[in-house]
Amino acid sequence: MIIDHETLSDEQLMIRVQQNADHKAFSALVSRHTRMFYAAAYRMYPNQDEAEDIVQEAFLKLWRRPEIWKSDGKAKFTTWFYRIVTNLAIDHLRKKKNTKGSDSLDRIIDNGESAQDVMELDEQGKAVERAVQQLPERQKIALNLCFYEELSNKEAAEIMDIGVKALESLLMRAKASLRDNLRGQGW
Amino acid sequence: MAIDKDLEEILSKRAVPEMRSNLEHRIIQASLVQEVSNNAGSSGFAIRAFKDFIDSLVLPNPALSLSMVLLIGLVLGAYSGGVIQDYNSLEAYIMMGSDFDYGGDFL
Repeated sequence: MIIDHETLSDEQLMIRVQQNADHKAFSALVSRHTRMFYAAAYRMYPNQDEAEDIVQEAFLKLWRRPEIWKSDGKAKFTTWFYRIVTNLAIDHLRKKKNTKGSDSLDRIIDNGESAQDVMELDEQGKAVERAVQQLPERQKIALNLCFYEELSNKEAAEIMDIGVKALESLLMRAKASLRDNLRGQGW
Repeated sequence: MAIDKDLEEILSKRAVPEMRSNLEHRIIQASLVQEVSNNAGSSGFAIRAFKDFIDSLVLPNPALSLSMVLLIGLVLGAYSGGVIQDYNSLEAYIMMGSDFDYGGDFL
Protein backbone atom coordinates (compact mmCIF):
# COMPACT_ATOMS: atom_id res chain seq x y z
CA MET A 1 0.00 0.00 0.00
CA ILE A 2 1.40 3.39 -0.98
CA ILE A 3 1.11 6.01 1.73
CA ASP A 4 0.92 9.69 0.94
CA HIS A 5 2.88 11.13 3.86
CA GLU A 6 1.72 14.63 3.13
CA THR A 7 -1.82 13.71 4.09
CA LEU A 8 -0.86 12.24 7.46
CA SER A 9 -1.03 14.28 10.66
CA ASP A 10 2.14 15.08 12.60
CA GLU A 11 1.23 12.48 15.19
CA GLN A 12 0.63 9.79 12.57
CA LEU A 13 4.00 10.59 11.01
CA MET A 14 5.67 10.35 14.40
CA ILE A 15 4.14 6.93 15.00
CA ARG A 16 5.56 5.77 11.67
CA VAL A 17 8.98 7.14 12.62
CA GLN A 18 8.79 5.37 15.97
CA GLN A 19 7.51 2.03 14.75
CA ASN A 20 9.13 1.66 11.33
CA ALA A 21 11.99 4.17 11.30
CA ASP A 22 10.13 5.59 8.31
CA HIS A 23 12.51 8.12 6.83
CA LYS A 24 9.88 9.55 4.50
CA ALA A 25 7.69 10.30 7.50
CA PHE A 26 10.62 12.00 9.20
CA SER A 27 11.36 14.01 6.04
CA ALA A 28 7.73 15.11 5.88
CA LEU A 29 7.93 16.40 9.46
CA VAL A 30 11.16 18.25 8.68
CA SER A 31 9.73 19.85 5.54
CA ARG A 32 6.54 20.81 7.33
CA HIS A 33 8.00 22.40 10.45
CA THR A 34 11.61 23.52 9.95
CA ARG A 35 10.71 27.12 9.14
CA MET A 36 8.43 27.48 12.16
CA PHE A 37 10.92 25.99 14.61
CA TYR A 38 13.79 27.95 13.11
CA ALA A 39 11.87 31.15 13.93
CA ALA A 40 11.23 29.89 17.46
CA ALA A 41 14.91 29.04 17.93
CA TYR A 42 15.98 32.40 16.51
CA ARG A 43 13.75 34.27 18.95
CA MET A 44 15.42 32.43 21.80
CA TYR A 45 18.91 32.78 20.35
CA PRO A 46 19.07 35.60 17.81
CA ASN A 47 21.81 34.25 15.64
CA GLN A 48 21.05 32.66 12.28
CA ASP A 49 23.77 29.97 12.38
CA GLU A 50 23.01 28.99 15.94
CA ALA A 51 19.26 28.92 15.35
CA GLU A 52 19.72 26.63 12.36
CA ASP A 53 22.04 24.37 14.36
CA ILE A 54 19.49 24.19 17.16
CA VAL A 55 16.70 23.11 14.80
CA GLN A 56 18.96 20.57 13.10
CA GLU A 57 20.07 19.17 16.45
CA ALA A 58 16.46 18.90 17.62
CA PHE A 59 15.32 17.01 14.52
CA LEU A 60 18.33 14.69 14.56
CA LYS A 61 17.70 13.95 18.21
CA LEU A 62 14.15 13.03 17.25
CA TRP A 63 15.41 10.77 14.45
CA ARG A 64 18.02 9.04 16.59
CA ARG A 65 15.69 8.51 19.52
CA PRO A 66 12.08 8.68 18.35
CA GLU A 67 10.96 6.83 21.47
CA ILE A 68 11.37 10.05 23.48
CA TRP A 69 8.03 11.16 22.04
CA LYS A 70 5.30 9.56 24.09
CA SER A 71 2.12 9.04 22.14
CA ASP A 72 -0.63 9.01 24.73
CA GLY A 73 -3.33 10.23 22.36
CA LYS A 74 -3.22 13.77 23.77
CA ALA A 75 0.32 14.89 23.11
CA LYS A 76 0.45 17.24 20.16
CA PHE A 77 3.70 16.85 18.24
CA THR A 78 4.37 20.58 17.78
CA THR A 79 3.75 21.40 21.45
CA TRP A 80 6.17 18.69 22.48
CA PHE A 81 8.76 19.70 19.89
CA TYR A 82 8.65 23.35 20.99
CA ARG A 83 9.88 22.11 24.34
CA ILE A 84 12.79 20.26 22.70
CA VAL A 85 13.77 23.30 20.63
CA THR A 86 13.38 25.72 23.56
CA ASN A 87 15.48 23.56 25.87
CA LEU A 88 18.22 23.21 23.25
CA ALA A 89 18.20 26.96 22.65
CA ILE A 90 18.57 27.56 26.39
CA ASP A 91 21.48 25.10 26.51
CA HIS A 92 23.19 26.88 23.61
CA LEU A 93 22.62 30.28 25.22
CA ARG A 94 24.01 29.15 28.56
CA LYS A 95 27.09 27.69 26.90
CA LYS A 96 27.60 30.94 25.03
CA LYS A 97 27.17 32.98 28.19
CA ASN A 98 29.70 30.82 30.01
CA THR A 99 32.28 31.16 27.28
CA LYS A 100 31.79 34.82 26.41
CA GLY A 101 30.86 36.53 29.67
CA SER A 102 27.84 38.42 30.78
CA ASP A 103 27.69 40.87 27.89
CA SER A 104 27.33 38.05 25.39
CA LEU A 105 23.73 38.90 24.52
CA ASP A 106 24.71 42.29 23.23
CA ARG A 107 27.47 40.69 21.25
CA ILE A 108 25.10 38.12 19.85
CA ILE A 109 22.73 40.85 18.73
CA ASP A 110 25.21 43.52 17.72
CA ASN A 111 28.49 42.05 16.65
CA GLY A 112 30.49 39.07 15.58
CA GLU A 113 29.03 36.22 13.67
CA SER A 114 25.48 37.55 13.71
CA ALA A 115 26.27 41.00 12.32
CA GLN A 116 24.95 40.07 8.91
CA ASP A 117 21.64 38.89 10.35
CA VAL A 118 21.17 41.99 12.42
CA MET A 119 21.89 44.34 9.54
CA GLU A 120 18.55 43.29 8.16
CA LEU A 121 16.77 44.59 11.24
CA ASP A 122 16.13 48.27 11.56
CA GLU A 123 17.11 50.18 14.66
CA GLN A 124 13.71 49.78 16.29
CA GLY A 125 13.75 46.07 15.69
CA LYS A 126 17.20 45.86 17.27
CA ALA A 127 16.02 47.80 20.30
CA VAL A 128 13.06 45.47 20.77
CA GLU A 129 15.30 42.45 20.27
CA ARG A 130 17.69 43.73 22.91
CA ALA A 131 14.86 44.45 25.34
CA VAL A 132 13.40 40.97 24.88
CA GLN A 133 16.79 39.30 25.22
CA GLN A 134 17.37 41.14 28.49
CA LEU A 135 14.28 39.59 30.03
CA PRO A 136 14.81 36.78 32.53
CA GLU A 137 14.89 33.43 30.77
CA ARG A 138 11.44 32.19 31.74
CA GLN A 139 9.75 35.50 30.98
CA LYS A 140 11.35 35.48 27.56
CA ILE A 141 10.20 31.93 26.85
CA ALA A 142 6.66 32.77 27.96
CA LEU A 143 6.56 35.87 25.76
CA ASN A 144 7.99 34.04 22.76
CA LEU A 145 5.57 31.15 23.02
CA CYS A 146 2.44 33.20 23.64
CA PHE A 147 3.04 36.30 21.57
CA TYR A 148 5.32 35.25 18.72
CA GLU A 149 4.46 31.56 18.36
CA GLU A 150 0.81 32.38 19.06
CA LEU A 151 0.29 29.39 21.31
CA SER A 152 -2.49 29.37 23.86
CA ASN A 153 -1.59 29.96 27.49
CA LYS A 154 -2.43 26.33 28.20
CA GLU A 155 -0.04 25.06 25.52
CA ALA A 156 2.74 27.42 26.59
CA ALA A 157 2.28 26.38 30.22
CA GLU A 158 2.50 22.75 29.16
CA ILE A 159 5.72 23.38 27.25
CA MET A 160 7.24 25.19 30.21
CA ASP A 161 5.94 22.58 32.62
CA ILE A 162 4.19 25.15 34.81
CA GLY A 163 0.58 26.05 35.61
CA VAL A 164 -1.44 28.52 33.58
CA LYS A 165 -1.52 30.99 36.49
CA ALA A 166 2.27 30.92 36.75
CA LEU A 167 2.52 31.50 33.03
CA GLU A 168 0.18 34.48 33.22
CA SER A 169 2.29 35.90 36.00
CA LEU A 170 5.45 35.53 33.87
CA LEU A 171 3.71 37.30 30.99
CA MET A 172 2.62 40.17 33.21
CA ARG A 173 6.15 40.64 34.50
CA ALA A 174 7.62 40.38 31.00
CA LYS A 175 5.23 43.04 29.80
CA ALA A 176 6.09 45.37 32.69
CA SER A 177 9.85 44.86 32.17
CA LEU A 178 9.55 45.54 28.46
CA ARG A 179 7.58 48.70 29.08
CA ASP A 180 10.21 49.99 31.51
CA ASN A 181 13.07 49.03 29.25
CA LEU A 182 11.60 50.54 26.10
CA ARG A 183 10.47 53.66 27.92
CA GLY A 184 14.03 54.07 29.12
CA GLN A 185 15.11 54.01 25.49
CA GLY A 186 12.73 56.86 24.65
CA TRP A 187 9.79 54.91 23.19
CA MET B 1 -2.14 37.15 25.23
CA ALA B 2 -3.75 40.26 26.64
CA ILE B 3 -1.07 42.71 25.66
CA ASP B 4 -1.63 46.41 25.04
CA LYS B 5 -2.09 47.49 21.48
CA ASP B 6 0.92 49.82 21.47
CA LEU B 7 3.21 47.26 23.06
CA GLU B 8 1.97 44.68 20.60
CA GLU B 9 2.87 47.01 17.76
CA ILE B 10 6.35 47.58 19.19
CA LEU B 11 6.94 43.85 19.70
CA SER B 12 5.92 43.12 16.13
CA LYS B 13 8.95 45.11 14.94
CA ARG B 14 11.11 42.26 16.07
CA ALA B 15 12.12 40.43 12.91
CA VAL B 16 13.51 37.00 12.11
CA PRO B 17 15.85 36.77 9.11
CA GLU B 18 15.04 34.13 6.54
CA MET B 19 16.69 30.80 7.18
CA ARG B 20 18.91 29.35 4.50
CA SER B 21 16.75 27.67 1.92
CA ASN B 22 18.55 24.34 2.15
CA LEU B 23 18.16 23.80 5.89
CA GLU B 24 15.47 21.13 5.47
CA HIS B 25 17.63 19.34 2.93
CA ARG B 26 20.63 19.55 5.24
CA ILE B 27 18.69 18.01 8.12
CA ILE B 28 17.34 15.20 5.97
CA GLN B 29 20.79 14.42 4.57
CA ALA B 30 22.33 14.44 8.04
CA SER B 31 19.67 12.03 9.28
CA LEU B 32 20.50 9.57 6.48
CA VAL B 33 24.05 9.30 7.79
CA GLN B 34 22.72 8.58 11.27
CA GLU B 35 20.24 5.98 10.15
CA VAL B 36 22.37 3.09 11.40
CA SER B 37 22.05 4.21 14.99
CA ASN B 38 18.28 4.42 14.80
CA ASN B 39 16.89 1.72 17.07
CA ALA B 40 13.34 1.93 15.83
CA GLY B 41 13.91 -0.27 12.78
CA SER B 42 13.10 -3.98 12.59
CA SER B 43 16.69 -5.12 13.16
CA GLY B 44 17.02 -2.60 15.98
CA PHE B 45 13.91 -4.02 17.54
CA ALA B 46 15.43 -7.51 17.69
CA ILE B 47 18.58 -6.18 19.35
CA ARG B 48 16.57 -4.15 21.80
CA ALA B 49 14.34 -7.14 22.61
CA PHE B 50 17.42 -9.27 23.30
CA LYS B 51 18.90 -6.56 25.53
CA ASP B 52 15.60 -6.20 27.36
CA PHE B 53 15.55 -9.97 27.92
CA ILE B 54 19.08 -9.95 29.34
CA ASP B 55 18.28 -6.93 31.47
CA SER B 56 15.17 -8.60 32.80
CA LEU B 57 17.13 -11.54 34.20
CA VAL B 58 17.49 -11.38 37.91
CA LEU B 59 21.10 -12.49 37.84
CA PRO B 60 23.64 -9.72 37.47
CA ASN B 61 25.73 -10.06 34.34
CA PRO B 62 28.96 -11.42 35.93
CA ALA B 63 26.95 -14.10 37.73
CA LEU B 64 25.13 -14.91 34.51
CA SER B 65 28.42 -15.28 32.64
CA LEU B 66 29.85 -17.50 35.36
CA SER B 67 26.79 -19.73 35.44
CA MET B 68 26.90 -20.05 31.63
CA VAL B 69 30.58 -21.05 31.75
CA LEU B 70 29.89 -23.61 34.46
CA LEU B 71 26.98 -25.07 32.52
CA ILE B 72 29.00 -25.35 29.30
CA GLY B 73 31.91 -26.84 31.25
CA LEU B 74 29.64 -29.42 32.82
CA VAL B 75 28.19 -30.48 29.48
CA LEU B 76 31.60 -30.61 27.73
CA GLY B 77 33.11 -32.51 30.63
CA ALA B 78 30.29 -35.01 30.60
CA TYR B 79 30.70 -35.58 26.85
CA SER B 80 34.49 -35.96 26.94
CA GLY B 81 34.28 -38.29 29.93
CA GLY B 82 32.04 -40.58 27.94
CA VAL B 83 29.28 -40.40 30.47
CA ILE B 84 26.64 -39.12 28.11
CA GLN B 85 27.61 -41.42 25.24
CA ASP B 86 26.13 -44.33 27.15
CA TYR B 87 22.82 -42.59 27.13
CA ASN B 88 20.66 -41.57 24.25
CA SER B 89 20.37 -37.98 25.26
CA LEU B 90 21.28 -35.36 27.76
CA GLU B 91 17.85 -35.73 29.29
CA ALA B 92 18.47 -39.38 29.88
CA TYR B 93 21.78 -38.53 31.54
CA ILE B 94 20.13 -36.04 33.82
CA MET B 95 17.30 -38.45 34.66
CA MET B 96 19.86 -41.14 35.41
CA GLY B 97 21.05 -39.10 38.36
CA SER B 98 17.96 -40.05 40.30
CA ASP B 99 18.79 -43.79 39.90
CA PHE B 100 22.14 -43.57 41.66
CA ASP B 101 22.22 -45.00 45.09
CA TYR B 102 24.98 -42.90 46.54
CA GLY B 103 27.11 -44.80 49.05
CA GLY B 104 24.86 -47.83 48.91
CA ASP B 105 27.84 -50.20 48.33
CA PHE B 106 29.34 -49.28 51.61
CA LEU B 107 26.38 -50.20 53.64
